[in-house]
Amino acid sequence: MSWRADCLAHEGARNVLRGGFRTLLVLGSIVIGVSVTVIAVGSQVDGFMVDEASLAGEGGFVLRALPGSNSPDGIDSARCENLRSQDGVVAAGSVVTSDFIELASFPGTRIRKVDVSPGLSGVFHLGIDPGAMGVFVDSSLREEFGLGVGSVPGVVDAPGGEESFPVVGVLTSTQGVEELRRALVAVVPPEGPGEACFVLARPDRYEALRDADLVALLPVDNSIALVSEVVPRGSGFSIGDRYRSRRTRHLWIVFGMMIVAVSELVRRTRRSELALYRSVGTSPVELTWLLIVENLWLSFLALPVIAGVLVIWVAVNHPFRASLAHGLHDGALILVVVVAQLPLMAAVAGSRSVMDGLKDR
Amino acid sequence: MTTDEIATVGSASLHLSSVSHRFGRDGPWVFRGVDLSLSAEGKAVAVVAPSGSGKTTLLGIIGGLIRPTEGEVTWLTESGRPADARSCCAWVLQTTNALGRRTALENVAMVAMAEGDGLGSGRERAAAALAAVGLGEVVDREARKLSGGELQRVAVARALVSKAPFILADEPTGQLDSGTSAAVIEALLGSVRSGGRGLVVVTHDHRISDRCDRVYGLEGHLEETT
Repeated sequence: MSWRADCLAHEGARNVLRGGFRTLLVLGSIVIGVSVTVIAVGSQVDGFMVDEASLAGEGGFVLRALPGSNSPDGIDSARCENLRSQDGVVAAGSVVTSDFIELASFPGTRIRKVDVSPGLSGVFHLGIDPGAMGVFVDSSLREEFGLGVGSVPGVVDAPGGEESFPVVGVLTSTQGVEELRRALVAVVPPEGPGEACFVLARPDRYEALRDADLVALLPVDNSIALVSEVVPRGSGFSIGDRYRSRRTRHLWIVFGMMIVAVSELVRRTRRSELALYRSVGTSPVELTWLLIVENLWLSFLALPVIAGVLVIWVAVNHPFRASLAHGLHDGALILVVVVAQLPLMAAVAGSRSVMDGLKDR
Repeated sequence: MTTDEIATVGSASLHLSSVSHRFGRDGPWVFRGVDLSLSAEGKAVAVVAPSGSGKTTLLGIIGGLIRPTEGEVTWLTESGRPADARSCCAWVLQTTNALGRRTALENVAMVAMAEGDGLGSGRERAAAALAAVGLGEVVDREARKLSGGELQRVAVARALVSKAPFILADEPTGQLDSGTSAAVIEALLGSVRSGGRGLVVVTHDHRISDRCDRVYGLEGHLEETT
């Protein structure tokens, strides 16, 4: 004398479909709770990822090797550029040389002149077309000295006398790379030793690449394989620390409890209904399963709506895949909480008098 | 489908031995020393008592929904083996309990499914039971759109579908007018007589108790009055 599984599933589905306002209430709370959690968590993690300034400065996704400190044997620009062929490396490039120069048209004004390899544009989204060579200016120089495309600033203290640099473009951003601020940036072929090597790692591979001592591939001399971290651990507030201390880390608990509270309120309105099930021979265990089945159906119904909301969010915001994964992870935790709390709630319900429940109208 | 065919009813007997009950550890005794033995053989037993005398509590104890403070309740199968109270009892309640947004058919079929029937056979037996209590025309109507009398007959149909040998009825006509009461009484007693079940009904409606085989009074203790 017990419910067959298919009948229990059918009964749960009918209760959900015929539940009217109470179904909408629970369904709405699941959709809102999960969607808001996924979007909030995803957005915040995404914020960490696109915040290149802090990532580069604090040891985020951009790995940086400096000769002497991280790479005692120096840096080979060509080898640095070729790191992009490694799994998990999005882009790699180097600052080949940098020096201060004096502009001929503004005597006494010294700015940086930096030679970089083409790959550096991919690391910091400088806005330089792949393969483009020539001199570019930081946008701050354009505002300060009116330098732009077509201008030919002269340098007075260049070796061998005055030298001119025709500007072919303006960098769209120098955020995250201090060396390019207020500078004439010349994109040159990656040859010879470099001053610094930057590697943009894929978010999900950053930790692994750092732990694998990427710098071992950087030294000029092939005979020495250095084993040291590009960005030493504990040298800054890492993205891992930021992730662990993020404001949204408890959001799934908050929304999980909200959905549990709504479910419990709805269940209380069904006191006589649940007692009726018990009175016709449904055991407490079967009643628990019925409630679980109902919530599974509700979650199943909520998924397309949640998916629709998230598709729109992804289409509008283009988050990193890893950000979405973090959001979905926390969203899934909510659904686990929603289903897992039912046995407890059903046990509480089962402990109440069935007779009282049957009289409760 | 006849009443017999709607559900194959087993046989069972009920034995109450020195059953006493009170609410709380120090509360007053609702009743004490109740002894009762019943067999399901198409017989109806009424417990008649004023409000607050513990009729519903006694019914809950008989049906295994309330644990008595003292004494024992034993259900035995035909072969003399102990049986689970829940499997021996079908309920018809004073309040018109039903799943409001579900159809009359679904409200009855749930009993069959709770007893292990498949969806098809459960609905088939439920439809037959509803027809047997005169509700063949409203099988697909939501319970919340049924009248009080129709809902009470849905409850009787639920009892008909159940394979339980006993029907426990708590004031089944308590909220009905006289015309509707007569129809419900007829459906209830008819199902008991024709199905070979036992009926324990607590009521203060003499139109029911007058048609029962045995009548008990309950005022502190159980005493047969007929």
